[in-house]
Amino acid sequence: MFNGFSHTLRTSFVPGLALLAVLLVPAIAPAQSLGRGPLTMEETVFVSELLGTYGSPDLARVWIQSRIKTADSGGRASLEFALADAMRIEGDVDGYEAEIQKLAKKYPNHPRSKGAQLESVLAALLRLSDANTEMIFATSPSQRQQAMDLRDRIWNEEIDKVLNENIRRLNDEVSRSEDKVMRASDSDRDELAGKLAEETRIRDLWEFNRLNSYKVYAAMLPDGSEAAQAKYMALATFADEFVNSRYENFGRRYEAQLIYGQALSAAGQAEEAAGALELLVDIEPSADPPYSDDVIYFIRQMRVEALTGSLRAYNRSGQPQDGLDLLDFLYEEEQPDFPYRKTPEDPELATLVALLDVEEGVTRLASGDRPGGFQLINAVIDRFDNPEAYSTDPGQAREVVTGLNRGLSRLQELGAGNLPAEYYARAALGFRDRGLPEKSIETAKLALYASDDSKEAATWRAEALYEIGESSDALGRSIEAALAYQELAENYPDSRMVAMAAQNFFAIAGDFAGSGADGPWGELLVVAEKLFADNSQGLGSEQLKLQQAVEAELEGDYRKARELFRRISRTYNDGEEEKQVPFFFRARAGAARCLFRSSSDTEQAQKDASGEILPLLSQAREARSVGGESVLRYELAKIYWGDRGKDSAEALKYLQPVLNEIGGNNVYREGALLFMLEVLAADGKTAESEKVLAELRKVWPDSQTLVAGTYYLIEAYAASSTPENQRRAGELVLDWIRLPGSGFEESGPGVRLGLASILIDGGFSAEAAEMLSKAQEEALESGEESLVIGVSYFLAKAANAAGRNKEALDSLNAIIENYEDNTYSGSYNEAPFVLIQRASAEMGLYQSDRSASRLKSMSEDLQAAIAILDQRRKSLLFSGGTNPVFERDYWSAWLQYMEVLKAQGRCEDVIQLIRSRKLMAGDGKDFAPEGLQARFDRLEEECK
Amino acid sequence: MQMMERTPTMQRYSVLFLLTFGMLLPFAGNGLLADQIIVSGGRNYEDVTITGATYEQVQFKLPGVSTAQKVDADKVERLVFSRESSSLARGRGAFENGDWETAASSFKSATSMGDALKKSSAMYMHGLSLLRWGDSDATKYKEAVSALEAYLNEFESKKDFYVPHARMAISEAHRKSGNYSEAESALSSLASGNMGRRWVVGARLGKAQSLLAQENWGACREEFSSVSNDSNASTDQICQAWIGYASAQQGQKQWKQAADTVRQQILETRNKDVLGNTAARAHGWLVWGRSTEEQAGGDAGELQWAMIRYLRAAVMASTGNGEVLAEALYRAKELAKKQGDTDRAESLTQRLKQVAPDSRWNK
Repeated sequence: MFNGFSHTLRTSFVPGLALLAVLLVPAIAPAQSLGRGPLTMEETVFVSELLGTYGSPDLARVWIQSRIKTADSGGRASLEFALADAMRIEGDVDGYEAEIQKLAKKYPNHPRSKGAQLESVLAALLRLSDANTEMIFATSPSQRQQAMDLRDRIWNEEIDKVLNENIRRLNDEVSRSEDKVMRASDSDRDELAGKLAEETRIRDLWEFNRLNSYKVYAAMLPDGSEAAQAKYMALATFADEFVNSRYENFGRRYEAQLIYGQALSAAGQAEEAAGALELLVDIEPSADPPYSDDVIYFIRQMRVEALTGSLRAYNRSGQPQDGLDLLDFLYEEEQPDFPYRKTPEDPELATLVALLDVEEGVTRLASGDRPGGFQLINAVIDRFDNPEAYSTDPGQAREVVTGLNRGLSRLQELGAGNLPAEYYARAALGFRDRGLPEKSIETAKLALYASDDSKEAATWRAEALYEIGESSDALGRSIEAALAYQELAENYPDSRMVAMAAQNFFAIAGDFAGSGADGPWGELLVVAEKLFADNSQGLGSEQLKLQQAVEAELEGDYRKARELFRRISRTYNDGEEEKQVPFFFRARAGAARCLFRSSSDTEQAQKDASGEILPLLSQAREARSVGGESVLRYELAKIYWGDRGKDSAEALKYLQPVLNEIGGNNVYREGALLFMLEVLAADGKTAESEKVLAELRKVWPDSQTLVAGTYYLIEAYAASSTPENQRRAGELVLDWIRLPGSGFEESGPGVRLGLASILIDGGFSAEAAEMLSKAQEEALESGEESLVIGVSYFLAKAANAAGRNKEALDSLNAIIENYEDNTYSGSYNEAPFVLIQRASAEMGLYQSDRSASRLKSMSEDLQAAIAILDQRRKSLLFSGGTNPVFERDYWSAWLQYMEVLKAQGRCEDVIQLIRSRKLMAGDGKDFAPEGLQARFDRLEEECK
Repeated sequence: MQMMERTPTMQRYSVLFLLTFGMLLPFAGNGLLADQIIVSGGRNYEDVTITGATYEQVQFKLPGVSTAQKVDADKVERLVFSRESSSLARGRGAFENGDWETAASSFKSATSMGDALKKSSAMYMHGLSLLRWGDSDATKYKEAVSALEAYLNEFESKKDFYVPHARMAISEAHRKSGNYSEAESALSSLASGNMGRRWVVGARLGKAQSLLAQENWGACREEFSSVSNDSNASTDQICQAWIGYASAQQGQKQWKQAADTVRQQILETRNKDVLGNTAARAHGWLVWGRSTEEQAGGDAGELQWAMIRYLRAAVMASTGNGEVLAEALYRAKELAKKQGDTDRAESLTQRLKQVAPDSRWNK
């Protein structure tokens, strides 16, 4: 089997998708050249062929973009609708739906706008299909239940309810119009009758689509379950009503009759179903020949589907012999215009005919005609379950193979024994598709017992075991799943499923073994690991070593990790040729990292580890491995700039080529550049940092790296005391909060306070105030003292920056009054800065009133602030060192204090203080950060 | 509804259509379109037409060859006919699924067929279905004996292929009814060697099973051992003998030895034919699981191993191999209770009800 496992139910929406064809009615013919003005029939068909038949939304888009420029307004609208269809075909169902609704408002008179709501139902059907597919392939009961709940919710809320409400409304409208027509004068009657006909057409269309929607949903429910029976009976009722009361479109009435029979069949009413479908199995047109191609096509479609439905009804009710009798009767009366099959077959009917072959094959096998049955079914397998069929028309191949598997599951229910292993394995898949995983498991087991010893039998036994594993997993029977995978991996080493089975066994055993490796699962984990290593040929085996190495490193077992990293080969054989192992250099870098970390002598470790990496750099360059070279350079830099040292010059020497010499968007290059930015920013090298950030922005505009990278640069600028740098920090904050991954909207008041502080320093007071107002609300809600103080403090800081010193002073006085002890003891983070800001506010006011008392107050506040900061600085120095931001704040406070002293006329004190600072730093040395030191020097000169 | 009409007769076109259709359908050519002879320890005969089958030889024709070929019936496990009535086909399917009631009634319906080959097959399978049904309803053993005797009355003199199979089945039915002497006497004609060397071994195997049922551990082990080491024994007989041997060891409470037997002879053997015998392997895991549990005492790890082995048996045993499946699920369920895992115990109870509703392990 080629690909029957990975089918999707999307293809079962032929009827649903046909809705679009109905809505796009005036549209059929060939045309590839670009025209002007209104769209021709040929052009309309060309677009629908590009989208539908060829499934090429990209091509359609290219053509539409060219044609739309010269189209008239009607054509433009149609083409915009087609662009929305392209979104749907690409799987963007939500985008498609939104676009259709938007276009319906934009072009209210376009024919598709009238069906926009119905197209929403179609979109919901596609979502329903996705949820159902997710349910089928769920590997745990909870996932399965979740997907099932979603599917049922979509059905109830977005489909059933919408269909019923609209049909009720449309019926009311039709009734009202009918009354009006009855009462109308002769002059008005024609117009009203036209309106009534249009309303009737729309109502019928909705009702017809309700039939198709019910058919789709009922097929998703567990076959034979009460829920499915109920849905099929409801469908039968709707279909019967449609046939008996909607006379406007005979084609749809035939289809409704077909649906009626199919629904009865699925609901287990075989005789009634056969009776209903008998009316269609050999229909012919009531008109005389010659028949048009469309009529022949339609009649054949009805006959084929009706015959398939009749046979299925007999099979479902355990009467395959009756089906065989029907076949004998019909084939005796074969007509040339309307044969059940043709050679070559009309491509558009090929799927339906293949499904008829399957059902007839089941009928024949179940009623004892094994050669006839095998011949039909094997022909379908040969034709549709192969790579060529999947590449030519994947939707058709999947639909037929799914139908085949379902058919064989019904054959199994009919009790035909002595089947080949392949048939049991396929039937197991059919049962799973029908929502019956328990039956799937029991049927798959029969493949293990099948007596055929064909070459393929072993393959199919392996497939069956894999199916047992998958269905067991879906039912929450993880032990059985693991054991089925183990059985497969141990006994079918040549099957195509062995690698996946070994991997699954390994994964489940790992889950059961947990952290402790004792007990059976610990022992089985070893078995599983070996099976995985043995069976995941080539790259898989190297991947396993990588995984094991990473795990060992995480556990701190550097020696084992290094050994595993080094065992990863440079090349692997994929069965045909030698290929590069894509993570070879990464593994070697990991080995060197482990060497570095396992040694306690840092200098020696640096020498050893870099000695291993350096020769590999040129090899990676020769191999054009951007990822490899990036990761090697990253590790080299990490050796010199990390938790065991901060030699930024050495680190940057190795990282520089990642920016300047190699290019590309490899993820490891991205990581190396981010690290380079971190080192540069920590070193305060803002210009170089900007270059690296620009490269990250250019190559990875949507990456999370920008969030971290921008933040590193913000810190670098914020630590500076020059107004330009502080302004740049503010600008970057405003950039940062707009980055998609920054999470700013969800951030708490603490983060907002920090960012607001940088904005205030950068002169963005208004933006800071806006940010703080939200933080204030949250702070008040939380009632957390530190947050309340923080917000008030930053609001005062913003007011000071904006020149509203009185307002700031009042706010700061309130804080100090309420938290006096805590403030002077420095027991909350902002305490010294509250005092500093109060001094700033007083300074602002002093500029206008020149009150000496303000200078005194400022002096006291600043002394108190410096005392707290001194204490904190000592603690920081004791624990390893301060940071640039603290240093800036600390010396800013001193500077401010000395300026107050100068204003008080205490220049000698200023000179004395500056000199003593210089002495403490070492004779003649600068003591403050660059920008501030100049101001101290200037102050000293002024005081002199 | 009157809108559709039946087509008028179109017979003049039907022949042309059928010819065209028939010629253009691809021929699968995988042997499924003709009869099959399933043999023990070798390649099956596919794409043949079976023309006659006795317990001495099976005659068949290859496509395009007019002369008949023969195969020694001693090597033949089963015959598969390409064309069967729906009753016979349904009976086989039901039998595979362990639906003994449907199997018995379907095979019964098929016994009215005129074709002797198929009639004999249906009559034998009818008896065999009743025998399997007897495992959950002991009253069926008697019916099985009657049905199989009816078959023998009609076909034994014709040396029909299924005669020795039927004798083995009658013996089993008597044994399971506790009639050990009848069980042994049913095998006497097999032991004489008239029906082939394989059935001499079969008679010894039947006798060993009878001794096992009577808990005569020593004697049955001797018989099982002689069967398993007999070069004339089929793979299936060898597997049954080793399972029987291990069961006797368990009867003697030699838990470790029983586990060693199934591991060495079935589960970890290098014999590809034995490894391909899924039924025997499922039974082997069950035996090993039980031995593990019995030896575990209170050791939680060993009990976990026992659970894993029971479930491995359950993963491989089909509903057609129902007693092994039912016993594996039952023992796993009881073990789960012992381990205090009530959720698993409840889930296994439900599964047991679902897959083996009538089994004695579910009562």
